[in-house]
Amino acid sequence: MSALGALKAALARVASDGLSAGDSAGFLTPADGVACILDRIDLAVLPRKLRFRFEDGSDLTCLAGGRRLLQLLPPAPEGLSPQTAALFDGRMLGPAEAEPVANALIAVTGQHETFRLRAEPDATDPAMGGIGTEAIAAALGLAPADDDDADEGDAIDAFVAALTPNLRGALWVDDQEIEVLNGSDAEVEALSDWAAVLLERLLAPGFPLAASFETDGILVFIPPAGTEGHALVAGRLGQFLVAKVEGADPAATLALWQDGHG
Amino acid sequence: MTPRALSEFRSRLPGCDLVVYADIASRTVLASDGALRYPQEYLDALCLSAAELLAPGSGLGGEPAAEVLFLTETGARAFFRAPDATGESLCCICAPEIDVTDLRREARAALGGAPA
Repeated sequence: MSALGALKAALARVASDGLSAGDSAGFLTPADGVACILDRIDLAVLPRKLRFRFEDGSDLTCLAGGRRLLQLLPPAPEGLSPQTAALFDGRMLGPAEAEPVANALIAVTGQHETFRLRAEPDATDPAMGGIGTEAIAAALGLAPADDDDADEGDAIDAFVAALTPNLRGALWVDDQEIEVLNGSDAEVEALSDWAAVLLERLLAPGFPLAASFETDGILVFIPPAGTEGHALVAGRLGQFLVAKVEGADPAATLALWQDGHG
Repeated sequence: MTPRALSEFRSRLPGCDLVVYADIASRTVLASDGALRYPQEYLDALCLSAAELLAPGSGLGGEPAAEVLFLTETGARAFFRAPDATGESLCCICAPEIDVTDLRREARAALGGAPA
């Protein structure tokens, strides 16, 4: 890699903390622009304040969480009708507003060609409401935001299968439901207790790596020398694989995870 | 660890963009060496990450983890705690293709402990 290429890669890694910090997109049609915005909202599992800054310096700011659009925040972008601009009042949106919100987004993207995204944590509870991205897309006749959950499920299955000879307990944590994939009662109980404490700590708004971890990342915890095995938590769009591995090098575990993301 | 020692540490690890020497007990950055000039708040965030990930109870058995490796598609972060419980730690930001075995060996050697 050239020195310039190495510098660009280093800059990209600096920018990768948090959801799409410094992310940008260009679009040819208003509908493409809305699709780009919905893709970013669909990645926000933890509550995030998203500011889409367009090429003319104007902003569209919203709250997203639970992979839904929660609020459109003031000030409203310029050029909207008074009725549409009234949506940008910071109140919690509801599913019945999918069509007017979709029309507002398309009115905004119709005036622009590119945006840069800045994201920051927010404490709003996403369980309070909001509009799913699929409802907004449907209101405009768009395909739903990219849904690679099925492929990711296959990748997780393959990851777990490859680890299985060395697994000493594995859980799949999906929202409030926990599925036991591997392990004795004692192993599962120990893993559950650990995961509950750890996830509460790591998904707190103040933890710097929370967004990149819950979106798509793996953490491997290695005990002090002389202690057997390692534990891992792999996050994907708010779902988590929690496992204990024995008799395998942590580097090998990470290589297996990377194989599924190649 | 001196800044020179950190620079030498990083030079032995192709793909290591930044190494931070921190006291996680006081959450203080002690020294750093990087390919870029990183703002202090970025170093502080890395130190905070290390303090949370290496805290008591972070390991499965209830004791603090000695090392935590964090990998995404775009990069790797690694956190190493000194074995003498002083709170000294190394935090690294690396390319995703970093040789994890080399990184662990160099970090443990730098902190004065055997590989975990």
